[in-house]
Amino acid sequence: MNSFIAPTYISSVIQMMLLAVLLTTVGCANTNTFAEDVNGGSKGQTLQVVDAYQPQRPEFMSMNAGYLKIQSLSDQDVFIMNVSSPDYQSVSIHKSIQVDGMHQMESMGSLKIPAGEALSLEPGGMHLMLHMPIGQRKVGDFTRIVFALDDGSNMSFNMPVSAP
Amino acid sequence: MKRSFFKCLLASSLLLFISGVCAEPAVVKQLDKPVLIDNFELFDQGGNYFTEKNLLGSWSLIFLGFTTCPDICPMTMAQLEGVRAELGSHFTPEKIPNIIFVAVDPARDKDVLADYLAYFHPKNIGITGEPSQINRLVESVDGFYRFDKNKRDSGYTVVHTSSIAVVNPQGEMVANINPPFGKSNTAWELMLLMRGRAIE
Repeated sequence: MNSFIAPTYISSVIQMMLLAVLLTTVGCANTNTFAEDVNGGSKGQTLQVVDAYQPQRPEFMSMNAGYLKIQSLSDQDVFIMNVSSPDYQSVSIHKSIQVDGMHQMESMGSLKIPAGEALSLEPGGMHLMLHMPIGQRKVGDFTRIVFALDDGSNMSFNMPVSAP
Repeated sequence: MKRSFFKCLLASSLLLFISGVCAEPAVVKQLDKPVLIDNFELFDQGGNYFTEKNLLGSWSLIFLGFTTCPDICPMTMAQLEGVRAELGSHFTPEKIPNIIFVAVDPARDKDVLADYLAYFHPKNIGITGEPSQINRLVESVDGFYRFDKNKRDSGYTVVHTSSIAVVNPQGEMVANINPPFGKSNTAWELMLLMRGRAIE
């Protein structure tokens, strides 16, 4: 009896483990490659965005921050000249800085992505400043972000709203 | 031969790790002399009076911020949460420092403070009130803030001190935490401070 049950049990455990591995892989793939339409301007496919997210914030907050990694796929420097979103009244690139022991933010006009390099926009550093949401944003929603690049092309991607 | 090679590799990795940890500069800077927090009268997010007396009996980590802050304040709150969690390995819950967020922009902060803090940790304390009372506390913790007009619209932002004041259960400021800080080294140094040992 036991010798019959044991292999069945082991087999079920192995199946569950395989399923868990599969689900984890799919989950990771979604998180890490959450991306984006890659642009196709005169410089060709130039940028890739990964790991974009914006933490959920209270409804009353008119400003939120978005974070992401931008990888250059180009052999030329690329400049993000403007950022916009149909989900916010305005979006800009800001940088949190510490000067003489004081926290402050500065607005960055354009953002240079050096050829072949990656740039991280992360908490406490550079970030997308999302100003005046059009409707409430909750966990699981996506914010559409559009980068206007210096070659005249646009690239857009979806940035998920994550838990605070 | 192979075994001794791996032993060497292991030893040098360990050495590198230890030297890396030791090389990390201290983020908790102890004051030469404790500074008693002056009396002040503010309100917490529940609308209850919060004065210097509420600081007695517990350790507190006090930092300045404002509820419309999109990046630094939420990040600081999350980092301090991480420090509190790490301190859980050294102290019982009642000895772990309170996080006190001083909202310095009462015109925009007062009505939304409770909602703002609810997005982080239920134990966090947020206080605000009359500017004159806020200023008394800010000066006590050797802080500063100012309102800066936005260049692109009619709004404003707040520039504020980045360091976090460490206040002991006697209501005295005894140290500063200076960003950027990692949760592990900060928790370790706070643990040393709270146990009256020298910060290495």
